Amino acid sequence: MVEWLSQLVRRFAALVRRNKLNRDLEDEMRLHRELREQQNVESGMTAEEAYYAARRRFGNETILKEVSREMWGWGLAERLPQDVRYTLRQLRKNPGFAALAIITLALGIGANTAMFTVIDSVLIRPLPFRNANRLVSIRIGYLDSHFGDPDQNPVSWPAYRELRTRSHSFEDIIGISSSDWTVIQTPQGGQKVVRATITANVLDTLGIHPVLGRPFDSKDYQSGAAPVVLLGAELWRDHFGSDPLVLGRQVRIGGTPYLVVGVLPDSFDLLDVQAEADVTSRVWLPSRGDEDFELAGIVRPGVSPQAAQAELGTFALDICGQNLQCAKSVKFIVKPSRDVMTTSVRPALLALTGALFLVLLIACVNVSNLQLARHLARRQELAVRAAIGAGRGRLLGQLMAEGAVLAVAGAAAGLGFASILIAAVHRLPPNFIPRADEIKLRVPVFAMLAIIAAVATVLSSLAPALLATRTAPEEALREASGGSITGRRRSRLSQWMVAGEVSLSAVLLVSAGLMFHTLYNLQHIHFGLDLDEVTAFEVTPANAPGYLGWLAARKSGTAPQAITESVVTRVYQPILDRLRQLPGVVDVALGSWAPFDGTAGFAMIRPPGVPETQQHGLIAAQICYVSPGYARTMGIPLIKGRMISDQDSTGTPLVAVVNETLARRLPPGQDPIGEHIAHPSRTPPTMKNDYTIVGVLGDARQHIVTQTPDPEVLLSYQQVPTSDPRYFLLASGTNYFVKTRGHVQLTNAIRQVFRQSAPGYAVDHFRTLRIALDDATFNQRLGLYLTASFAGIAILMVLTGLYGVLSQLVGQRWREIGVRMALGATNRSILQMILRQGSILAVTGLALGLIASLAGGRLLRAFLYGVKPTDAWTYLGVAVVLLSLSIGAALLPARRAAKVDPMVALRCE
Amino acid sequence: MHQDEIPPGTLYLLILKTLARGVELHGYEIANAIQQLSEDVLQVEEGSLYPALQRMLIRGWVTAKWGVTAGNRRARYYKLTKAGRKQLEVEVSQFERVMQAISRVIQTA
Repeated sequence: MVEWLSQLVRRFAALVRRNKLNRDLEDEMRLHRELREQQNVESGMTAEEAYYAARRRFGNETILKEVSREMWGWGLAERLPQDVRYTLRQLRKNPGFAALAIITLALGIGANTAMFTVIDSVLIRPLPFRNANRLVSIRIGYLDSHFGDPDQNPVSWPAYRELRTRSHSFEDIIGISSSDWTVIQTPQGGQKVVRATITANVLDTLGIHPVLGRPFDSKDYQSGAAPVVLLGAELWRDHFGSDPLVLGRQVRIGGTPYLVVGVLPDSFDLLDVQAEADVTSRVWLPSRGDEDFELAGIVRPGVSPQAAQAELGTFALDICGQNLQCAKSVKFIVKPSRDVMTTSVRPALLALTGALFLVLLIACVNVSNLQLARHLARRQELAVRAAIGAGRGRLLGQLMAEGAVLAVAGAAAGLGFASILIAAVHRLPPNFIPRADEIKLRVPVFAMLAIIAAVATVLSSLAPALLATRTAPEEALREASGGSITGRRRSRLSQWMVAGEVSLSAVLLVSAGLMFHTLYNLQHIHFGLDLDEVTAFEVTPANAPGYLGWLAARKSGTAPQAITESVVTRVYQPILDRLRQLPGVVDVALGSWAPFDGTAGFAMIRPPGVPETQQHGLIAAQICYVSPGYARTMGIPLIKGRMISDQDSTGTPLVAVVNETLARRLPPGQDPIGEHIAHPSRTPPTMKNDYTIVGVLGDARQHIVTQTPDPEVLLSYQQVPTSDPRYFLLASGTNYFVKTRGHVQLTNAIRQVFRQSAPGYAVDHFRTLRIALDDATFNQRLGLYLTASFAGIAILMVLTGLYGVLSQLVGQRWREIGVRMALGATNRSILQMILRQGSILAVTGLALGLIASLAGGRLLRAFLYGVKPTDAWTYLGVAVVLLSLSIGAALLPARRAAKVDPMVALRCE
Repeated sequence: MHQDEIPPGTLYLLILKTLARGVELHGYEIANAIQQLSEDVLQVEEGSLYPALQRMLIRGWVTAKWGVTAGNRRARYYKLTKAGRKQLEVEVSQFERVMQAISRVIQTA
């Protein structure tokens, strides 16, 4: 061991001083020869004889020197920098080839690196909690459930306690209540936030420490204790300005004061599995035992999730309160938390990984073809080197060095490309990819990058290098390029590959074209609304009880609290009037749902002629509570009758305005005006729900997904009594729509109005309807970007592939071209010959690709809108683009062929 | 006089033994010594000493120092180290084992 180490030291020292080493060796050897020479002279030879005898006796000095040097074992370390320098010189002389190869590799390597980063951060890394590898989610499913997601049912507090005390498989079971929203008062006014409660063991079990203040302690969890709250990190940053003095202050949440005891870190937000896209600020409250919970647990070491699941199954009876019927349908589902959180994206991510790996393979093969073409061009040089005495290994090393330099450059560029991709991923909407915050470049990624680069080197350089350094390199290169059977096979293979790349590009381009068309159509549908000059925003009262309160109200059939004056008359209407006074405002309205939000409420409407007891024949219609100015503000035309007016309020007959689609569904032959419809719901029989239709509006599209407008009923927001459970909808918040003259920035003025007239109300989500539409089409846009990116990469592969294959072709037919030209062919005809070869490949690939697109068009139909999968213009456009690009790529090798000097070509072989 | 080539692999053995007498020799002297000690039977292709000496330098069997010859020429002198001495023993015993085996084969023929 020690000997080996001291050997290494000596070798290293020799490397550093190798010039001196070489000189010393030379001096030694010279001395030896001269002494021998001297001796020869003394024993009687002439000077000349002595000289040659000494040299002969000594041996071949050059080889001896080299062997001596090699003893030090630094052959590689000397050769490598030499080879790299040589490669760089060569590449500088051929910038086109270098650029093409490096960009191709960069795309393949960079895309795969970015993909691996995402997979590493999202799927592989453990969650940032203590015992994350044993953290599992525990869900209860009711096999005969009708409501919602059968696997997502929360557990009641008594059931939670049962499971926690009686189960042996878990170190502990924690509970987080289902998320609800509420309004918190910040220094800037009201803010809508997500609210959830946690059981006493959550923070300890997961090893979460607040970034500020303290966690809840045991007395905070006792019912009757003073209300306390932990703020989420984003809420504290964005709305409290990261102010450390917020600790110890009282904040009003939903109308009740709470003491702020601390701020939780960002990582804690991961546990909120029902994340809402818009609201990312959170508050956390201690659970006092009166909620339903989503459960998670830490399994004991050695216990598998399946075993835990089986054990929990034995408690089904207890959960059901000894009800056998219920117990039979109860199912526990225990899965690792990380998998549960990422299950929505995993298939997409894995599919994308596979696709990108394919891209890398294609890139490597393309670069391999490029390199082979180049070796072909250098075959004279390589043959000469072999003749002088460069061993095969030496030549191989040199060519591989070239491949390695390309791969390293490609990897470096790829890293930059990967960073750009990752930055783009961060720009996706929050909650699109779970754990998106954790996606960043880390050490394992760099290791992966190195591996990918190494693989790329081998794949793209080995075959050409091996072929080029065969003992008769000339022979080998000629063979490789199609002079012999095996060579022809390889060449044919390359050509088919390029044709394949063209096909792939065609398919991707057609898809991208169709998607682009779809997106364009979606954004230019006649929505029947004024998109650009209407700004919408959301308003939430300070003490809005949230979704859970809404559910409770529905269940009990009454409003959650006794309210004397409707929020409509108290707040909404006066603010509406004030907003109308703002400069630049043409009109203002409010409505319970906003277009393109995806949140519209549907109910079953009983049209005239359908008796009360009948359950079928009802119309599913969208119900919206609006103010009189709604149609005017939104730009919806009135077709018949009148719009809701200020006269329609409590006490006057209930009125409704329907849209054309619903009017068409009413019994034909009768004027819809004056007809009665009923809006059955869980109202007590004493409530009136019989509406008279007073007007018909033009159809306005509120969604993208449906191909035709939905039936819609507009009711007056003044006609919802406070005792009606549907009043609750209005009390939870509403949307305002402001029509402006041109583009006017009104946000501050609007906030000012609310600060004065409705302090504490949360006012946010300002957007024009155009922006709302863009958000709603985000999925289509993302699909378009992805497809277009892949199409772009495919096109680059086509260019590289065509160039490489045609260069090879030209190289192999060098002599033939020379002969033709000598026999009288013009430059032009040679050019055409090569271009023709390229065109054949391109056209074949194009034809295959277009046929594949036609055949597979059916698959895309679901994603398209307003354009057929066989749209002729798209196909035509793709054909033109691909053909022109292919001709372009073929031009360079063709020009080179046309410039062949027949004398040189004929002499060359 | 016809001289036999040295058997392959024995160059190190010969050099080590030559230096084992505790002297410091340079390359030319080593070559002459081998020729002398073998009574002219063995003649090395003299250049091949040098790669062998380099190897021995790496392995730490000899050390080298620049000095001056009698004729006032600059030469590198080699000396055996302790590790070299140990290696010499190893090589000698290995050589003897092989020689005995070969003898046995010849005798039984």
